[in-house]
Amino acid sequence: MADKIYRINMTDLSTSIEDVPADWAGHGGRGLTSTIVAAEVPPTCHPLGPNNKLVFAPGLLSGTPAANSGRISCGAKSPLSGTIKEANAGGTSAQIMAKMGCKALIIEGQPQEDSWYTIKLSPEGATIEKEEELVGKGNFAVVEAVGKRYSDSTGVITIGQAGEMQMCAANVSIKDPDGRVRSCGRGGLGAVMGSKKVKCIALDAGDGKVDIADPDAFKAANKTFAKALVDHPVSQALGQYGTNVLVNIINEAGALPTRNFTQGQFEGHEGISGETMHDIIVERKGKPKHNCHTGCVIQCSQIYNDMKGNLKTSGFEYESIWALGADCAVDNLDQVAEMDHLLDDLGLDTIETAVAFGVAMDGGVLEFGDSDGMIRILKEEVANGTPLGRVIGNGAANVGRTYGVTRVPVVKNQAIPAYDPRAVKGIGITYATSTQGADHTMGYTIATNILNVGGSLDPLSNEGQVELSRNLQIATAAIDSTGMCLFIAFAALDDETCLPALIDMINARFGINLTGDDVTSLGQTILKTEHEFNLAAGFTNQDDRLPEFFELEPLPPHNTVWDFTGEEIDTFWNF
Amino acid sequence: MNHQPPKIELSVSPDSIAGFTTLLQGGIFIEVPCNTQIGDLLTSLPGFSRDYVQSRVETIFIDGLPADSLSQPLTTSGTVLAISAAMPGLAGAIFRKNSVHASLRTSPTADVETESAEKTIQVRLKLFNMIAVERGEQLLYEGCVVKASTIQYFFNYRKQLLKQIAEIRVNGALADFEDLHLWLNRKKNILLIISGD
Repeated sequence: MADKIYRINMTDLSTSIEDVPADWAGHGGRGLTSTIVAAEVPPTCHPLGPNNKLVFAPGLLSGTPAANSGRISCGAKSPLSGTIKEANAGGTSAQIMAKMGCKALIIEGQPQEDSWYTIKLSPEGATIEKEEELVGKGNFAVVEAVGKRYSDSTGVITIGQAGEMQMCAANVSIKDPDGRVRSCGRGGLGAVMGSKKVKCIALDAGDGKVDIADPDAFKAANKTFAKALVDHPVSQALGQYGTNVLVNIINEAGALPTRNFTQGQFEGHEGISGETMHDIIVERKGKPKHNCHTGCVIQCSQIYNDMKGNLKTSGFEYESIWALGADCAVDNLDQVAEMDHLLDDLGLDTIETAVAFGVAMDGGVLEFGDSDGMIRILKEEVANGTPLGRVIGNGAANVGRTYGVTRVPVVKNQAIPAYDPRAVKGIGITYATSTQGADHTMGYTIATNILNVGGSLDPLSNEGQVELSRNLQIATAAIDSTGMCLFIAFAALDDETCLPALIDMINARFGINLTGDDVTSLGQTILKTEHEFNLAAGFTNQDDRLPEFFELEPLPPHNTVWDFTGEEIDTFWNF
Repeated sequence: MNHQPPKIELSVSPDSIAGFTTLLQGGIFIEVPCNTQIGDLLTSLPGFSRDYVQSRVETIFIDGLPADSLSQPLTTSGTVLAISAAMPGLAGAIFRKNSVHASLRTSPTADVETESAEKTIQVRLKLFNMIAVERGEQLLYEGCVVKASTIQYFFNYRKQLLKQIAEIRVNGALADFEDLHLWLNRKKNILLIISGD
C-alpha cells in the first residue's frame, strides 16, 4: 500500500487523501512535520488562527517490527514559543497511522461555528463528526469513551480541558497500550488542536500493514539493533528506575534546579529519587518496568500506585518529578504523583506548568513546598479556567509577567527543563540555540565518533562546546525523523553496531542505500528548515540567549554563572 | 575520630532487605588514609572487586564534580564521594567517567593536591541505583556508619519499612521503636547493621 497524506480542512469540514510529494517522501516524524509546517504555514501567522496547521506524522520505521520505533510526531507553529515546534510521544497512534498508510495527517483551517469535532481515520480515509459527549472531559474519560464508541484497539489522540481552553501549555495526548496517555508535551500544541475545535482523533488501521522492501535484511538489522539496546547498562538502569534515576545524579552534580532555579541541590531529593520511587512502586505492587508502546525493549515507564494500591499515574518521568518536586520544593512523591495524574488528565505540559508554579511561588502566589496549594489550583482554578488558572496554564513567562518576577527560566518563552545550565554548560547551549525554545531533548544524542561528524575545535573551549551541541542537535533531529525513541541514543553512544543497524533498517524498509553521511545531512536539513522558519517568523540571534539571571546569580553549591557570550553562541549556525 | 558510634542492629524480613539498601543514597562514612585512591577505597568494601568497580561504577562524583579516574586520590576529610551505574540522557553521558562529552561539563575535573600520608580522613560515600542494590545488602550486613538524620529521614518517607523490622538491638541489648527513635535523636552517627531474620 502506498503511503498517503490525509488532509482535513476544518473551515469547510472537508477531507482529502493525497499522494506524497516527492520532496516529502524521504521524511518521517519530525523531519516531515517540520518540512510540512515550513512549507505550508505562514511563519508570521497567529498560532491559534486559521492559517496555522497541525501535523501528525509517524516515523520512517513506525509500524514495522523495529524495536522502539513507535513514536508519533506532532508539529505546528507553537503558541507558547512562536517558533516552529515538534513534540513526540509513544502510545499506539504512530504504529496505527503507519499501518493505515497515513504518512502524515494535516489539520488546517478553523470551523466557522462554535462546535467541536472528532476526526476518524482509517485506511479508507477520514471523516469529521460533530462532538458533544466528550467536550469538557479530561483525557482519561475521552480515551475510555472512544474505546466504548469504537473498539479497545482504536488509537486515540486527544486534548484535555486545557487544550479546549487553548492554554499555551496544553499538550496533545496519545493513548498508550494500557489505556493511559503519553504526551506530545511541549510547546502548547494542544492549544492548536483546540483552536481547530478538534477534541479527539480516532484511528483504526483495519488490516493495514507496513511494507518492507527487504524483510530478511530488516530482520537481521533489527536483531542487531535490539540487542545493542537491551545489552546496554543504561537500558538496565532505565528499566529499573525509569528516567527518575537521574534525581540523585543531577542533585549530586549541583545541577538540580531547586526553588525556581535559585539552588542546584534539593535537601528533599532522597524523598523523590528514582531509588525511592522504585521501592514504593514494588511495595505497592505497581510496575517498575513498563513500555509506552509495543516493541519497546527498554521499558523505562512505570505504573505508580497510590497508598491503597490503586493506579495513580504512569510514565512518571524525571522531568515531571523534578519540576513538581525540587523546583517547587516538594519532597513527597505521592503529592507529585497526584499532580502528574491531574496534569495528564487536564492535558498540560508537566514541565511548563510546574516551572510556572515555581515562578508563582517566587512571586508569592503560594509558598514553596505547598503541594496542597498546587493541587487545589490545578483542580479548581486551571480545570475551570479561572483567571489564576489561565495565568498558570499559559506558562512560566506568563506568570512572571503577571506577578512581576524577573527570575523566569525560559528561552523563546518555553520553560527550561531539569538541568541548570550554570552547572552543565553544554546543555545550556542547546537551550539557547534549539529551534524550539528551551528543550533538553533537542540535543540529546551523539554524532562525533560514530557518524564521523567530528568537532575540530578545542572541546574545552566555549567554541568547542557550541560545536558539539550543534552536532548533537543534528543527530537528534535525524533520530526524531525515524520514529525511534530518543533513548536509543545511549546504546548508539557506546555500541558501534547500533546506529549502522538503524540505518540498515531504514534501507531495508524502503529499498534505498542511506549512509551515515546521509543521516547527518538529514539532520542538518531539518535544523536549517526549522531555523529559517523561525527567522521568517521574526526571531533573531538575540533570541538564542539564556535569561539574564543566569549570568548574574551564581548557583550554589559550585557558585557558577552562565558565561557564554552572544558571539560564541552565534557560531552555532555556522554550518 | 576514635569515638565509636552506638551500634544499632535491625533484623528485618529477608524480602525487604533490598528496600533498606536505598538508605545508602544518603551516604555512609568511611575512614581511610589520606591520599587513598578512589579505586582502592571502593575495593576495600565487601563485594567490590576490581572488575566490578571498573565495569559497573560508571559515574563518580567527588564533592559534586565528576571524576574520570579511579586513581584519583582522596585528600580532604569530609569529602563526599558518590558512585552510580551508567546514567541515561545527555547529562548522564556528560558525567560518565571518561566520557566523550566531558567537554560539556561546566568545569574540568578538579586538580588534586596531595597532603600528608599520615593523616586519616573521613569520606562520605553515597551509593546510588544499581550499585546500592547490588552491593548494599552485604554492606549493611557487615555494618556501616551512617548519619542518624539520614536514617530518620529515610524512615520518614519509607514508613512501611518499619513494619518489616522484627527485632532491634542497641549496643547488643534488645530495644523497641521508642528506644530507636531516642538514639537517633540523641546521636549524630550510628553504626547500622541490617540483616534478614
